[in-house]
Amino acid sequence: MTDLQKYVDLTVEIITSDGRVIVGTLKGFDQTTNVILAGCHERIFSENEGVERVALGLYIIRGDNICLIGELDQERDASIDLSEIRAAPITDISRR
Amino acid sequence: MLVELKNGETFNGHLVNCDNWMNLTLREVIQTSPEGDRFWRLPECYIRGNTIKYLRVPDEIIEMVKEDAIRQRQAASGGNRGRK
Repeated sequence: MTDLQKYVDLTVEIITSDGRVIVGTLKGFDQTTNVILAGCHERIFSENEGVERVALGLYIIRGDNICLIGELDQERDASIDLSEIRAAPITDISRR
Repeated sequence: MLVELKNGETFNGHLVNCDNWMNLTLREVIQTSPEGDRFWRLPECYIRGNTIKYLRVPDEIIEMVKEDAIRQRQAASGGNRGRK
């Protein structure tokens, strides 16, 4: 199992099993991949409007619900204009 | 704190106790249905850890955790230094 230690204090993007995209600072984790995300916000993608940002604050996300954790390149992310992005939202994984 | 379960229900209340499996007891709880249309007030409730999707917690907690960790490390090393 790759260690999440190298991502601590970095900005990460987490995709949950219900298809939500949450961006925040990884503050902690444990063996079951429960994750502590500080100053996080959810990015809601839509095909018709730009990306909506919902501020969330300090979150503890349970590992069972996490699909993917990725390191976010802050520079590249800052250069993206979220209001211009049109994308279909990700569906949740439990439904087929 | 706010607890959202895997089924979308949310519980807003004060954390009384927790264990290694993330089972929680909350006091003075407002339970909201997944649709957000129905509300219940519960004086106390017990939530089984494996039903939790996520927890939303006040931002100040992260500072308190760091202070706790530092104090524990100081207590451990301070105690060892005291003994011969």
